[in-house]
Amino acid sequence: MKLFSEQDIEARALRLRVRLFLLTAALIGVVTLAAVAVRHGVFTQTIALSFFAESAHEISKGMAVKVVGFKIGKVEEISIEPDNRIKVEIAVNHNYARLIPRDSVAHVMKEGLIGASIVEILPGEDKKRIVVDNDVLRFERGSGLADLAKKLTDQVIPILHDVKKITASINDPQGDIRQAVHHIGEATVAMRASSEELQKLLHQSNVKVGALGGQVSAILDKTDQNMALVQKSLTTLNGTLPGMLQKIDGALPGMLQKIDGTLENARRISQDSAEQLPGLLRDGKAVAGDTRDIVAGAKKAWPISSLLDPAPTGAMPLDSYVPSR
Amino acid sequence: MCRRVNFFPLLAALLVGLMGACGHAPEKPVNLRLSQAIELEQKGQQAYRQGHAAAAAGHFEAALRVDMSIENHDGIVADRLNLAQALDASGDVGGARRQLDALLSDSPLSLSPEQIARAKAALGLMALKQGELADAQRLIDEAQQACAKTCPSAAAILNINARIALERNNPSAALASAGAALPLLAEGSHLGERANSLRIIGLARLALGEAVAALAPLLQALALDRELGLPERIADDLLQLGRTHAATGNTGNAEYFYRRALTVAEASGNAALAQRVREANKP
Repeated sequence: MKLFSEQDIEARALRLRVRLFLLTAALIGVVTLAAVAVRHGVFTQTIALSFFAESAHEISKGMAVKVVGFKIGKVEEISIEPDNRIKVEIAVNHNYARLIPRDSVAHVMKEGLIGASIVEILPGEDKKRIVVDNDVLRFERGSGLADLAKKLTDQVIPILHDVKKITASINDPQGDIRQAVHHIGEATVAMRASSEELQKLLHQSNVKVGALGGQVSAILDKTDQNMALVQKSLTTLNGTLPGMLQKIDGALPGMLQKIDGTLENARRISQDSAEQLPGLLRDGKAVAGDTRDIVAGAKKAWPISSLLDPAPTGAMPLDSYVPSR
Repeated sequence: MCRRVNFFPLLAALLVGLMGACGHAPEKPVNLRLSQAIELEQKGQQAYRQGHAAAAAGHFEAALRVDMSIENHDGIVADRLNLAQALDASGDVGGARRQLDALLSDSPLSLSPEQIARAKAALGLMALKQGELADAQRLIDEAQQACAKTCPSAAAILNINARIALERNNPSAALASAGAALPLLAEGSHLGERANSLRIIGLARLALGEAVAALAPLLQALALDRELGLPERIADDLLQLGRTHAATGNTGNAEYFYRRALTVAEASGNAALAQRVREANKP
């Protein structure tokens, strides 16, 4: 009897442990299912918005919809309209609809330079008129890496070409700038000669009109002093200019080489971007394709499949409508 | 003495249930071309329901090419029927007829009686729209011969028959045929076809001089078309209500419905319909 009693106690303890294990497993299963459902937004109430784009480029089903960098929904459907515009339908979490006035603008842009594409909604000004179900937003396409690279190239290359032309013109002995500097030198020499002539004339005048009095003589003395100062300045300028021209002559080849190098670098950057961008775009498309497959798979799986309306297939029902005369 | 409840079988059943729910039957081999054809066909149906008949025709044509490339006979039949309907709605009656003729003359497809009835009825409907009443009647008679009362197109065929009778100034026959169609349409479904029956009944009553009796079916047709969101038919119903009120001598109500019809026709961008409403409203 004692032996049976001990075995009975052991068996009861074993049953208790088995039940505990099964209960824990069941709880984990239920919690996991609930978490998956919550994660996929099964219980999230959404509102449907849409916008029209000129191209479906970089837009794909399931793409995140964000406001100020915060995810509030996703792209539900993309369809082509008879006028070749692309209709993009998005589902936005009902709780965040109040952040989106009706005059908001939807943008397609990248997260970072080469990140995933997202739909970013820039909230409008009219905070009193908030979007409601089935509203249509305005759409503008944001700049991608390729656009930025092209814009940068388009803007920088003409500037560099202009700089190159200017420096080449400076270096050209027949160029406008070199000719202008040369003319300044010639003018300086001419002014010096004129100054000497004027001094001689003044000296002669001084002799001839010495009788005119001390006042005139003083004025002429002053003028003489001023002219001497002018002459001194011109002499200084004359001494400095050749040195400056020599320096410019010496520096110009180096500057031209540097500009050539810069232009070459710009060309290489453009070329590298052009080579890498298609690859990046291909990768992005592949990722989008994978995501689409995953979402399509998820749609077929229980319990999501039970929440979706089955799409109609086969022949449409015959419609006997004839417009009345 | 308290009886102990054994939870073990309950828990085991719960776990088995959960596992069964999470798992699913092994996938069939994936036929990518077939999936593509189905996707195109669904896109076409969606476009058609949204009123983009030309875009729908494009999708159905693409689906047809894919189905023909893999000899998917069921798909080919559905694609040709859908393509014909979309082409007809977009104004390409010739193209629509070619699709249906190709379907009826394509012997390897061995169409079911329902499919033959559907194709003949669609041809009859096109003939009716073109004013070819004799051809329309012949095709509808052939469709009725092929179609039993339970065939999915039975009600639509009766409605087309009623419409032909109405065009032949035989409102009594039209009333009988459209009245026979109504019981075949289950309550809560086939809303568009129910509206067609009710509209024809209203028009037949009006033609019989029973304008007051015509109001109820026309108002019911209007309610159904509004529920479905079909602008052309809403405007059509409103126009007929205007005419019916005018026939009862209530010119105030008639003008009210004409005005509504004109607003709907103009808002939907249907210039021909708007012109018809303006002409109806002329004193």
